[in-house]
Amino acid sequence: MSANAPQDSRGLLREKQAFEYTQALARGDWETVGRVLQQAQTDPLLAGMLAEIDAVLETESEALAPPARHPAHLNGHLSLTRHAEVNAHSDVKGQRPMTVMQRANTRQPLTLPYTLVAVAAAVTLLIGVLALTLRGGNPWLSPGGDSSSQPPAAVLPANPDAQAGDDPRGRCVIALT
Amino acid sequence: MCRTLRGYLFRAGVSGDRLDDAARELWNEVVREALSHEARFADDLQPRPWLLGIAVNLIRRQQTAAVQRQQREPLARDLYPAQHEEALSDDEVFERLAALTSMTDELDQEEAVNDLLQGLSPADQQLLKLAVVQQLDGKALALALAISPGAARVRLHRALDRLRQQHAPDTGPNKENAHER
Repeated sequence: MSANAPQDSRGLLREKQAFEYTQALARGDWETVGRVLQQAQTDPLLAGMLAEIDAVLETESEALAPPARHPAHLNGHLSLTRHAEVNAHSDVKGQRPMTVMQRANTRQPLTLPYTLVAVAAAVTLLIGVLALTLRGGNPWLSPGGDSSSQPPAAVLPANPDAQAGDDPRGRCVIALT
Repeated sequence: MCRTLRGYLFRAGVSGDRLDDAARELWNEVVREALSHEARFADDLQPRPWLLGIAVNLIRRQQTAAVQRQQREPLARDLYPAQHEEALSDDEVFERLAALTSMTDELDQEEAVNDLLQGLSPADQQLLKLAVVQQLDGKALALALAISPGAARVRLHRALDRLRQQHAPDTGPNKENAHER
């Protein structure tokens, strides 16, 4: 049944220590967890094995208890002290300079959608104005037009009897309605 | 690192809504302890296990304090003491499987493996047989299963745990749950 070369005793011992680590974690036996970690301090291969196991268990625990909205805080990129995180807003007021990473991580997540909506609205408005200018000529910009006395074509109610040739603004009205 | 501590605290029974804050607080404590005992860290030591060891000590300290505060409330493990006394130890269950890897006669080995794994689910039997073939080497098992070594070891360890429960006397709630998991 054994197809492979026998694993060396040190390798087998490491596998056993890794097994003890997983089992001890599962039942909350911190004494054993601490003992295996102590052994891993002087054994880089065992330390690597435990790190791989930790990565799998982290993914599982995060699936069961998802992290809060700011997972970047858990990656260790931010300040090491919670104090710095709590005082992030006071930092903005100039009490303490913030690092680029801190600013990036303290940005409000809802700001972006509002900005996008505003930009989209502005672009739509610009396209509308351009369409008006190109198709029918903008009465506000025409040399002979009285821009102060006439409302723009877009806000005029459409006359059902009007024909496209009646009014230079007619085409715009029809096009917009 | 903070994710690992979060996982530790999850297994230590910290509730989900407090996990992130508790992990950050623990990480702060670990850094503080590490800096104050910097001299103990030798150059040839692995930093990750060293820091995690500090975290484990802090968790144990907190649990001890919590137990002292709530002396009258029984712990879950105290409710089922027989389960821990009579079940096979980690060492025993691992050695039982490890002993099979060194058998030279393939027929004898196969028979012994089948005897040991009797009663387990087909998936667990298949995994443990493969582990015996691969000499319980996590990396080789990972290659055979086409998954990461960490995932292969976690799967193997859980199958071994179910094997332990299979061979434990019929006490405690785990026996009933063995097949459900």
